[in-house]
Amino acid sequence: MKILIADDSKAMRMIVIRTMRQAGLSGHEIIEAEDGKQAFELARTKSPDLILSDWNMPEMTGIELLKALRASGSTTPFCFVTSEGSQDMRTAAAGAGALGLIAKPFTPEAFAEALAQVVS
Amino acid sequence: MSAFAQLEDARPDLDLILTDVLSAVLSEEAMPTQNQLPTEPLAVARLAIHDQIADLYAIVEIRAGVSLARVIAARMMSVAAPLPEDIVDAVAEVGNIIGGNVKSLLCHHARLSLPSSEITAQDPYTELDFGVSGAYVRAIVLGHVAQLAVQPDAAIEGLMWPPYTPDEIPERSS
Repeated sequence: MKILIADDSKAMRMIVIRTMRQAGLSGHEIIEAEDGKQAFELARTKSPDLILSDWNMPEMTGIELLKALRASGSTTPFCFVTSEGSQDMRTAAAGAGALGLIAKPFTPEAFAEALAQVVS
Repeated sequence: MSAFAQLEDARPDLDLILTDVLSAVLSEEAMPTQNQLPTEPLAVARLAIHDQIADLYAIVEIRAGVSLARVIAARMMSVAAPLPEDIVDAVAEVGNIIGGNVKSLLCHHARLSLPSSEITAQDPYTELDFGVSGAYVRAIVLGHVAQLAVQPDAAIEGLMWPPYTPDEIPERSS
């Protein structure tokens, strides 16, 4: 399985990879993007099976990325990993077609629960 | 009323946010404290919350001694000796996590800036006056003190914002 991780923080991308491993979701090919715009290009050229994205990023936000992907016909499962876990944002994420929203700080259990449908 | 008007009442929640985030990123127990920040160089992360209903801004600022910041970066990035840019990135992300949680606590219709961070021997920003409307809390972890401050109406110059998404902008109440 190919997983695209979009976050403008290298530290957070590394934490996401480590947490997935701790959640028992390891052994997948990981692609990294530093902002939404780069993530959009990588989603088109690398065809990931899952996208994990921050919300607040330079160039293109996570919600813009999701809407652009859906507008382009992409149905790749998409989950936010963001520091803002309010109900408003969860509703906006779901409305745009996200699989879920994992709020930072998170636990391996949160990853396992949110991604159980799409990652083994 | 501004979402930032009752910050003193939010201190217990701010305590919880700071200790929860430090505990999570370090995998160590963090506790509220009144101890002072260290006198060594500081790692500082700063970002702003824009309350779009009241059109007001608040600054969220995280300060920690560079010794603690180095440990945070090492644990977040799984490296023994983080580079200065790793420390700046890690502290910025801690600021981002804390800022996002503070935003969720205080505001429903708000935007969060991107974090700005640096390591400095000098106080890089205008000293915040917490006596009027701001609030700060401190936590101790691994014997080191870190501080979270929230200050309404502080200067936001120099901070970067993510692109606007039109449907994120709510109608003003007035």
